[in-house]
Amino acid sequence: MSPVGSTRRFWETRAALLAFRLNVAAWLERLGPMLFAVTSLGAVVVYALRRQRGPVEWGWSGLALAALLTAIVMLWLARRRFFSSAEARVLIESQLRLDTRLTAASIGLVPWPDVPESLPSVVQWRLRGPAGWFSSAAIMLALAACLPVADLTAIARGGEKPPALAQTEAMLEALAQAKVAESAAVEQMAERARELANRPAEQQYSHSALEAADALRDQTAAAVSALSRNLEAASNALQSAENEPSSKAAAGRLSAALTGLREGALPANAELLKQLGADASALDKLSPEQLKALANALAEASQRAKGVLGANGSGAPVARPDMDGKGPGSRSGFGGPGGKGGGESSAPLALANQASDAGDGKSEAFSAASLANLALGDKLGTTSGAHEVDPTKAAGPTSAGAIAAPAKGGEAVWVNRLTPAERAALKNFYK
Amino acid sequence: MPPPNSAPTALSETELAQASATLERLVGTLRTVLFGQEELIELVVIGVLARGHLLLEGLPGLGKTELVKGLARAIGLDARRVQFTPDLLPGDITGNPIMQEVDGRRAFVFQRGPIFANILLADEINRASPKTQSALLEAMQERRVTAGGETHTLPDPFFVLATQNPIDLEGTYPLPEAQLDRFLFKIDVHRNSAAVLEKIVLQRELGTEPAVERVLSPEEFIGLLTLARRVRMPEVVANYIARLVHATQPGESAASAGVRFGASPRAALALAAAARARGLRHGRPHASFEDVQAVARPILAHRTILEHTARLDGATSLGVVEKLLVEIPAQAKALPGTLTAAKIA
Repeated sequence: MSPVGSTRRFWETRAALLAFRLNVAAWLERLGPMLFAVTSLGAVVVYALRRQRGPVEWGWSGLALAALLTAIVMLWLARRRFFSSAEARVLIESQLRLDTRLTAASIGLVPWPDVPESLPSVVQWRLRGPAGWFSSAAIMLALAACLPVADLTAIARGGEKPPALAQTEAMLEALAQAKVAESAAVEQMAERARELANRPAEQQYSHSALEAADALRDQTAAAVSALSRNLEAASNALQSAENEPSSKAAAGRLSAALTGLREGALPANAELLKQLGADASALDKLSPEQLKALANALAEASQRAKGVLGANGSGAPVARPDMDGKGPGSRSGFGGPGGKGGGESSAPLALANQASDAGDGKSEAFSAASLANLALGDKLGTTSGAHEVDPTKAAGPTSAGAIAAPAKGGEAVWVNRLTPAERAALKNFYK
Repeated sequence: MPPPNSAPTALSETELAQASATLERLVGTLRTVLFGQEELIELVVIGVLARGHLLLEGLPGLGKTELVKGLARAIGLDARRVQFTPDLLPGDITGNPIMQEVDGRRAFVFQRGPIFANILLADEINRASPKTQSALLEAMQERRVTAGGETHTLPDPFFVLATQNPIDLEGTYPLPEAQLDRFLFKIDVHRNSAAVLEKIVLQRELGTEPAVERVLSPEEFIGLLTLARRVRMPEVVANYIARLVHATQPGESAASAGVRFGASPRAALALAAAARARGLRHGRPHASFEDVQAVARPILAHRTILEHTARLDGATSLGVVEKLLVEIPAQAKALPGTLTAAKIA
């Protein structure tokens, strides 16, 4: 090849290479943000598939396809900014200050310039922007692939039921053995527990299933607690009746307890109810010994019911005594929440699964006798006041060049007022 | 006259070499007239090669008039000098019809003014009244004078080489924008350095003009003007000129912020002509991006009118042109954001 052909080939090759580089750069500039958007969306889909135990492979395949399509579309859109070899040649000659000799040589005006010993690069990569986009996309993919997913079905497969459901089943089993409640009612509750237990393994720990198990446990515990209280109340009423046969109060308490035992969410055992009779008047026919035996039987049944509450193994919550906080604590040992004046007994400091409500929903204003008793946020006092303004003395705003005040003889009435910025501009102009 | 790019043949190497040598001699002669002003001399030579009118602005005593007189003598063209004053009338420049007796009859005969020369040295042009200044308008653009209903063609070539003092001196009238636009270059003449002043003191005497040799014959000079027209303008350079001039318009570029009126199409033509002339001066058969960049400042600065607020903020027309030269790349397409132009020493 002749030297002329060689130099021409050299410069044309350089121009073509530069054009390729410029076009790749233009493509990358467009691709970066769009690829990040696509991969972010794909990463969310892949992660969702992983959570749902779906076909993750399909997710990855779809993501790869979407990325490829994005790259092609961006290539198509970026082509308008692509450089031809001639345009890249202009960039070379302007950067190297060749006096447009490459273009002139290409149209035959002058010979091609000699091949230089070293040709500096006329452009430099500025990859911070694209690198940021691509790194972010890679991070999203890594998160989609590596972010831990809770293995709910593995827990279910391991035979572990939700704790609330297990507690409910334990209570119902203990209740059945204690034989203090109507078996049909117990069976009805057991049937609801079985319905929950028979759900598919992957749904056992779903949000709705856990909520349903918690609700069933609380209902069961509340029903057993009510049964126990009614049995205890009936036992106490019978003991009172034994000591004071004509006590109307005892008869009333007994009547209320019987109503609860018959019509509660968890009715008492049919045999017990049969012994108690249809109503309180039936008990008048019983002898003191019979009353005492019946009271003992009810007390024993109450204790068995309380034992059921402890059968869940973790202290299931019980129905909170309905107290307004003003009275003393209940005899069962559970102290009232206290209030103004306080209860006689203190609230239990026992650990429980559910938080206890320390207040009764009432608030009381605090009046400070001295500053020493004040805490942060306490109000010291308020007062009202107003600025003393004399509107007749206000001059009001005056614009530049306006008359500031009525003139007197010999006074200048034209006052130029300029802002500091205006004054600086004028000063600069006349400098 | 056909457009320059339609010239049938490109300049030969012989023509280029001869032109380059002649111009080098001319520049060398002018360097003996004016010391330490190489850039100014280059621009003046390029300006006359491009058939342009030149306006030199600077404080008195910097050698503006000497340079123009030296150029006139070196080229050997007919040159007239007019000292512009506030009481100068238009007829004092263009000429007046005078009643004369011709063949026994009295008739008005047009008495040509000093404008009928190849080079009119309009000294301190901004001292004349606007009326007198405007008398130059037709002559500068059309290269002819109309007086008494008759049109008189000026000699070819015809140049106005004007000097002016900075407009903030007393007793001057700023040239109107329309007249400024007719000057190819407005060149700021800067003060000399101490070393140049020392050279002037040693080699010059007060009141004595330097001897200037005649370098060119008028025919040779006209031949150079013809060669300058034959310098090729590559399309990419023409595109660069168009984008550069367009970018001076308000809102067309970041650099044109604060510009009230941008450069006219005449500015684009001036850029092309001056770039061709500079190409010939450097012995090239084509104009280049570097040629355009070298002449952009004296061509565009006085044609770019700034808003008052921008001037109050300290902006200058020259500053706008400097920014444009940085902002507008030679290549038509902007570089992708992922690449930046390398700084090459």
